[in-house]
Amino acid sequence: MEEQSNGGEDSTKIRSLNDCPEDVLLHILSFLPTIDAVRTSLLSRKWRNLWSSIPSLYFSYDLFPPSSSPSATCRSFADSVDRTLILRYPHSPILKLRLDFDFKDYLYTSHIDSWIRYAINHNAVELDLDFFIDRKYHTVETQHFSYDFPFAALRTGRVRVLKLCHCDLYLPNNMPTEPFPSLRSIFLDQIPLTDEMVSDLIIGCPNLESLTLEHCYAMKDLKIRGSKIKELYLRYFYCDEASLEIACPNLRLLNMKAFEVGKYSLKNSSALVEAYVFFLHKMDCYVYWSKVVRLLGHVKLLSVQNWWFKLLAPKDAIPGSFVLKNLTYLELQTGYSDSDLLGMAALFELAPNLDTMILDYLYKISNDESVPEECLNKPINFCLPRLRQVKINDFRRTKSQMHFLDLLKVQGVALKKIVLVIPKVGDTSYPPIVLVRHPRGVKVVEQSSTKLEE
Amino acid sequence: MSLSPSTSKMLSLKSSDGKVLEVEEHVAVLCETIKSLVEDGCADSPIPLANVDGATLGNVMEWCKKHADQKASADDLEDWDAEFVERDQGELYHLIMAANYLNIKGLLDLICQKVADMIKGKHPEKIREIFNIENDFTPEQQEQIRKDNSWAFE
Repeated sequence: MEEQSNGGEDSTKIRSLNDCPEDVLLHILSFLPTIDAVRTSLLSRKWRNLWSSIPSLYFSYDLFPPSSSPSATCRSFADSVDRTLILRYPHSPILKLRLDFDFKDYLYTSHIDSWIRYAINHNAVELDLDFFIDRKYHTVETQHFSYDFPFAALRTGRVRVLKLCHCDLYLPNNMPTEPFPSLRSIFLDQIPLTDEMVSDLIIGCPNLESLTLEHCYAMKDLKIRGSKIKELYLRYFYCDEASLEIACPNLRLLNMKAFEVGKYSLKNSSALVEAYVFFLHKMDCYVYWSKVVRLLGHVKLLSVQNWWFKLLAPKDAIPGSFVLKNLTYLELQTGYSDSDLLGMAALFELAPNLDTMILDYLYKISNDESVPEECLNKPINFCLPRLRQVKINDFRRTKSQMHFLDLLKVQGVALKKIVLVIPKVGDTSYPPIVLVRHPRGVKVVEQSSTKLEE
Repeated sequence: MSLSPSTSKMLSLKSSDGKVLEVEEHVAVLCETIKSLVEDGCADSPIPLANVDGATLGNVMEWCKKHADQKASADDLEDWDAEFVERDQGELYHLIMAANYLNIKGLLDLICQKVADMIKGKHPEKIREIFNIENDFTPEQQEQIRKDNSWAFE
C-alpha cells in the first residue's frame, strides 16, 4: 500500500523558508556571523531562541558596531562574546569557533583563552582565530602585542582543524612524548616559527594530513617530515639563506607560492601527484622557479608558469634524464610571444602523455630576456601526441594568440576540443567559443559574435 | 570511492506525486539516503520518495548529475552552483527540504548558504518581509529581546 498524503501538507500553498523545521533553520543560521544570527531572535517566537543552539559560532570584529574609540570597541566586543557564550544553551555542542579580533592589549588574553576553552570543552572540531583581520587595523603607530595561542589547551579536545593568523604559537615542551592525535589540518598565517617549532609541531601531531605555512617567518633550515602529511601549502617566505627539505612519503599535493629559499629538496616523494607552483614572473624569481620545477618530474597534474624557454639556454639546461612522463593535466600561465611558444614546445617535448591543458594569463613584471638567435630561427614544433583538450582563458584574439591557435590546430594531432574563454568587457560576458574536431578539420560548434571558422 | 560511470546501472525514483525518474546509480547515490538503500540491497524499483515532489526531484537530480561528473573542475562547479541557486523562495524551500531528507550535504550547504546570504546584514523588519514571517511578539517581549542582546541591535 502506498501512503497517501492526507492533506496535512498543502502542496498548493506557496512555501516560505520560514516553514522549514528548526534543525534546518539552525543549519542556515550556522552560515551567518553570530551577530546576524542573534538578530534573528527578534523575528518571531519560532526564531527567538534558535540562535542559542547554533553549532557554529563566528564572532567578527569587523562586523561589530564600532564604539567611540578602538579600545571601547574591543571592550564591548569582548563583553558581547562573553555574553553570547553565557546565554547559549549550556549543553549545546559547538562544531566550529571562528573569531576575528583586533588584539592590542594583554587585557584580553584571559577572555580569548576562556572562549577557546569553552569551544574545546564543547567538542569543537574547528578553531579559526584571526588577529590580523585587515590591514586597516595595523597602522605604523600600532604597538605590536601578540596573543599567545595556548596550544596545550587542545590536548583535551577534539579539534581537527586549527587555523591561526597573526599571533604567537606557544607550544608545550613535551610535544613528542604527549602528542595531539586529534589534529588533522593546521593552517598558520603570519606566525613566527622556528625550525624546532615546525618539527615539534609535526612530531606532536602524529595524524597531521594537511599543513599550510603562509607569511610565517623565522625559519632557517626548514624540514618538513611527516609520514601522514598528504597536502602541503607553503606560501610567501623570502630568505635566500634558508633551505627547505620536504620528506613526506605520503605527500599527494604540493602548493608553493612565492616561497623563496636558497635550497630546495624533496625526498621520498613518489606519492606526489599534484603540484602548484607560483613565483612572480620577474627575473630575480626565475632561480626559485627553476630549482623547484626540477623536483617535480613525476607529477600527474602541474600548475606552473611558462618560463620553460629559459631552460633552452645551455647554462640552465635541465638534465637529459628529466621527463614529466606522468603529466596528463597541465595548467600553464603563459603569454604567446615567440619565447613563450618556444618554452611551450620545450615543455611539450618533456611531457609526452599530456591529455588536458588549461592556459591562463601570465602577468609579466619584467620582459622576458631575448631568446638566443639560433632558437628563434627554428620553426616551432609542438610535439603533442596525446593532447585531447585545451582551454584558453582570457582569449582576446590577439595576433600572437591566433598564431598559437593555428599552430595548435595543425600540430595537435589528437586534439578533440578547444575551448576559448573570452574575457568580460565591463559587465558583459560572452559565451566561450568551442572548437571540436570533425573529420575534415577543426570546426566551430558554438560561437559568439566573431567567426573563427576555417 | 565513487562508482565509475561505466559500471553504473539505472535506478528509478518515484516522487510524492507519482512521477518516476530514471537516474544513473552513480548519480543517485550522491543522496546518502538512497546510497544506504542501495548498499543494503533495499533499493526497490521504483524507490518511493514520499517527501519529494517530481519537480523538486528533477532539480535535485540535475544538481547530483553535475556533481557526479568527475570531469567538472572546481571553478566550473562553483559557477554552475551560483546559477543553480538563483530561484524563487518556494523552490529554495523545496530544495532544502529535499536535500535534508535525501541527506545530500553539498546541496544542503549550498542552499543554506544562499538563504544565509539573504539574511546577512539585514534588519529584522526586512527579513520578516522577505520570508513572510509574522511578528507574534508583544511590544514588551520585543523590548526585552533587544535588551538581552543590546550589542547586536545597535
